[in-house]
Amino acid sequence: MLVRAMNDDQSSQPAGPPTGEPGAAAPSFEPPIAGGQGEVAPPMSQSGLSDGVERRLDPRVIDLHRLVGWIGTASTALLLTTGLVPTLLLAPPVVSAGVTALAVAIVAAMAWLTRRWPVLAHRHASYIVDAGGLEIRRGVIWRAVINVPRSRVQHTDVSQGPLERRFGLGTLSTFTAGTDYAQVRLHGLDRDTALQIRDHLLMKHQSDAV
Amino acid sequence: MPSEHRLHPTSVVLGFVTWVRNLAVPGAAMLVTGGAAGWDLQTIVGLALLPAALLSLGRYLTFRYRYDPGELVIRSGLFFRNERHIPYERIQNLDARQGVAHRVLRVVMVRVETGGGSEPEAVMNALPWPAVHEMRQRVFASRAQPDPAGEPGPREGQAAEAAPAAERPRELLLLTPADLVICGLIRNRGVVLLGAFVGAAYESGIVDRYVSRFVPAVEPFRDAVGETLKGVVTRGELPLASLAALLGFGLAAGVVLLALSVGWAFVRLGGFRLSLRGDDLSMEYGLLDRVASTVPRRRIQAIGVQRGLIHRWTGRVSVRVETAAGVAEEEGADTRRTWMAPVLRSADLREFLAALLPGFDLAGVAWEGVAPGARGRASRQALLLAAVPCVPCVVWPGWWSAVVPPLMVLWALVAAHQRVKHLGWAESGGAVCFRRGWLWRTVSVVPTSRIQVVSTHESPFDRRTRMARVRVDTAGASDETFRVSIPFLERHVAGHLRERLASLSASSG
Repeated sequence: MLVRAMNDDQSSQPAGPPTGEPGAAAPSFEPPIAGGQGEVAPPMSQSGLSDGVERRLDPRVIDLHRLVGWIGTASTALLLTTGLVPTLLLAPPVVSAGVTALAVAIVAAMAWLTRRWPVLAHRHASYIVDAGGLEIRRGVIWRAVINVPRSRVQHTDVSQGPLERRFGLGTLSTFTAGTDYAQVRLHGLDRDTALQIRDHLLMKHQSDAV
Repeated sequence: MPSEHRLHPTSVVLGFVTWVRNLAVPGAAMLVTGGAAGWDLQTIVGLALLPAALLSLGRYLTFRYRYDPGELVIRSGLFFRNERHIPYERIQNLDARQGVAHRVLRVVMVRVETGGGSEPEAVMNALPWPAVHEMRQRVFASRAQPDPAGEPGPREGQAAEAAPAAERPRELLLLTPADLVICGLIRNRGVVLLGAFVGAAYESGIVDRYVSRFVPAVEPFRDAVGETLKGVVTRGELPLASLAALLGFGLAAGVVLLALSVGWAFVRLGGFRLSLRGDDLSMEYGLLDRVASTVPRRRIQAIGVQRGLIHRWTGRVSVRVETAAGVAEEEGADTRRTWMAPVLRSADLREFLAALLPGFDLAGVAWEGVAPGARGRASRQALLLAAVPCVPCVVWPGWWSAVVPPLMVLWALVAAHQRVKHLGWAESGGAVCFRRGWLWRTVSVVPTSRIQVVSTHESPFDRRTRMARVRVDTAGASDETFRVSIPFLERHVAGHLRERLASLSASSG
């Protein structure tokens, strides 16, 4: 179950607006849910990650998503501009004014989303690792809570794209024998954290439960 | 060194026959077009049939199998040699099939299936019956299966000779001809068969050759039908005689299609027999193509029970089972591995499910309903859907604008009310149950030990009404019948259910 914990760790990364400093986080865990009210967590055990504490994703993922967003916005702007030039030259003023306004609106919307959306997504994303398995919460508009029992994990993947490598992040993919959730991905983890969760999930794996 | 066995000599002929059958349609096309291009029959025969004969002869000569202590070893191939080791405990099913040719020659085609992938691990076409029994005995020895002492008898449920083993086979289901008729009506494959026939006729050129004879008869008929329909729709006339004739013709066509469906059911499922031996469910069915296959009970991932209108009128249900053996590849896929009971008397359902899932009692399931606000939400969804056909009524006004919208609204409200009334779920007896549907009722049962991933989902509309949807993922939920996706649950109820199911699956590893 959910246990809200104070951050015993001396890392000073606040769980709020991103600071975008890679390497500022402590070698182990992200700060717990902001607010910090409630019981104090028991002292961290050897495999301290699997204590059922709800954790946020690494704040660097916000910068990662923003970077991707800016790249997308820039390419869209470029495409639209190249499309606009012939329109401005050839079409009557009313049409070209309308099309220009539309293009500007699209680029502005994308820029605003790029600024705003990663923060929202980060606020609504969290995960819990405990003896039973992995629970992932995500989604801003369509919210989901996905629970993967440890006994159902067939194998796991920790992968890093080139941008993720730059930020020191990784993606944990758990594979089960299901159909819709044959692969459950958790983006935006610090790579070492992802490896620790993977080790925890794969311990004491017995029957294949299929 | 265990001795090596070979296929039966008739496999040369059977393999050849299979090749020829696969080549029949392109061969016929070649005949039709080649005849025009001046090729003669001998060239075509040589081109198509000679390689087939050589291939099947080669396969017969190079195919060998033997029984090693823990596994079945199969060697085949001349240029590309292949040796395949299949551990006995990985073999889930030994499918035994007999087509008409097999029955005449008294041999069997055996397919060795393991728990994954869509292809069988090995296909042996063909083996004599003693070899099949020996294979079954050796492969399933670890499960202490009794072996049928003789060939499976003809359909009318004659007793297999008594097996001297501790566990007697227990017969679960035997379909009578009346059951087969009902099955044919329900499945309604007549339309598919007719479509396939028409397609084949068109492709092979029969239609081109004979349409000139039919056209004089068909043309005025087609024109008359078109005129009548146009009159009804555009001018609102009601010529009673023509309409009655049209209706009569439609009914006759429907009867023909139904007869085709029933015929299909007899051919495909004739002599259906399902029995339980230890932990294995054995199925036998088919009039022309006889299939005998086995499904281990522990591989059952989910069970789906269906009741449509025809089911209700005849007091039957249909039970389907999803196993972890992968997707079957042929047209009759849904009759092969997933049908446990094409039709079953409703009164027998409880006992049948208890045989499939030991410890599960359908009558003891405590069904729970969905949130109180579900009816309102379902009505809103249904009204939105109903608005779609009303749009053309507004854009193109006519006599239908007064009739269609009220009908659609009424239908939407009734359907929503009934839908919510028949929604129910339960978590008990080691399984999760979910029932839904008004006209076509479905109940899905998923044992807790087969649950893979549990999730709750909230759409923006869910959040506004404090509801959530719970989804239970299993291996092989390819068909809607086996999906458990419970809508309109109260948020706290959904959360509790998710946590409970997650902890149950975590502990039942």
